Amino acid sequence: MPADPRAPHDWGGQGGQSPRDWGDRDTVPLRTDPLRAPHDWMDQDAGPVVRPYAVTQGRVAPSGGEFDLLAFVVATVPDAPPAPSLQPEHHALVGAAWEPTSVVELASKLDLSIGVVRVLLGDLRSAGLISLYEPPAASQPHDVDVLKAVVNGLRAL
Amino acid sequence: MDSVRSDRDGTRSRIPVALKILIAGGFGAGKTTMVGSVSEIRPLQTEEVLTGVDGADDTSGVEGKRTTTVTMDFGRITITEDLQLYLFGTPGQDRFWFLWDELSQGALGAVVLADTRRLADCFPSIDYFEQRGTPFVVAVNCFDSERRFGGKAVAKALDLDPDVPVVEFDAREPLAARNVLIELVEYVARRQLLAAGAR
Repeated sequence: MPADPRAPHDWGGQGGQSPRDWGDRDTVPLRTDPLRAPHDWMDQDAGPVVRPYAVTQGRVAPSGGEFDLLAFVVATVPDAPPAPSLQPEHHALVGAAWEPTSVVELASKLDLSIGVVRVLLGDLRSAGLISLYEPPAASQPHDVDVLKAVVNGLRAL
Repeated sequence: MDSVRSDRDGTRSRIPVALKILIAGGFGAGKTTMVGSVSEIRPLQTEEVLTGVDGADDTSGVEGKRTTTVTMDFGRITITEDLQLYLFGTPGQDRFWFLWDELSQGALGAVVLADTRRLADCFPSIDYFEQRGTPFVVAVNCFDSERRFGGKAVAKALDLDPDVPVVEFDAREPLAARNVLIELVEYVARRQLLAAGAR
C-alpha cells in the first residue's frame, strides 16, 4: 500500500517512523482504514500501546533461572538505590516486597504481566536486592496436619 | 517446611506456606465469581503474555499475531499467619491448556465447576485432572431458576470415579464456596491417608 501522508497511522514525525518500520520481529499488522478517525484502530484487539516486554528490553527469561508463581519475594533493602540499570518498575517491586509477597501478587499489584515480573525479579535477585523463597517441591505430598489446619481455618471463616 | 521460612530480624512476617487450589470449568461456569466470593483480597487479575508459542494454537488466518494476553483470576485466603490458600481461576479457553501445567504444578487440588445447562464444557477439565492425578471435586453451580440435577445424576453423566465428591452450590455465596473448598481439602486428606495406609 503506498504511503499516504494523511493516513491515520502517520504519527506526524518529520520523516518519522511508522510503527511498521520498527523492525519485522514483533509487529502486529494494523488494520488500515483511512476513512476512520485517527486512533480508531486502538480497540481492545490492538493490545497495550507500549508492548509489555518493552520494560524488560525484550528479555523473556529471568537471569538466574525460573521460579514459581507462588515463590515469595522479600526485599533485602527498604528502597532500591538509584542505579542506571534499574527502571521504575524495579523500584516498585522492591517497595512492594518489604513484607513477603508472592510473585503472582506482585504482578497483580503492579499491573504487570507475570512474565515481565519474573524477568525484573531476576534482575533484582542478581543485584542482591531481593531474596526468593521457593514453595516446597511439587512432588512432596501435602502434609495431613497442614490439610487439617486448612479445613479448620476455612470452617472458622 | 522450615526451609521456606525466614527467621530474619523478626520485625517482618515470616514466609508463609502457600497452598494452591485451582478453580476450573467451562466458560461462564462461575470461576471468576467463585474466586471473588471467597477471596479476602479484592479478586485480582493478572496477565500472562505469550510470545511465539509454537503449536499451542491454530494460528491459521492470524499469522501475524505473535502475542496473546491471557487473564488469570486469583484470590487469597489467609488461614493463619503462616498458612495461605491461593485460588487460581484457570484460563477458560482450550488453547491455553499449556498454561495449566504450570498452574497445576504442586497444586493441592482443583474444583471443577459444572453448569448443568452445558455439562460438556467441563469434560476437558476433568480429563486433564484425571490424567495428571490431581485430586478434584465437581461443584455444580446452581443458578436460582435452573432446574436442579442431583449430584448422582451429574456424577453419572460425567462418568466420574465413585469416590470423587460432587456438590451443589451457588458460586455467589461465600459460605457455599467455602464449603466446596472444605470438601476438596477433606477429600485430599482422605486420599493422602489412604495412600499412606497402602504403603
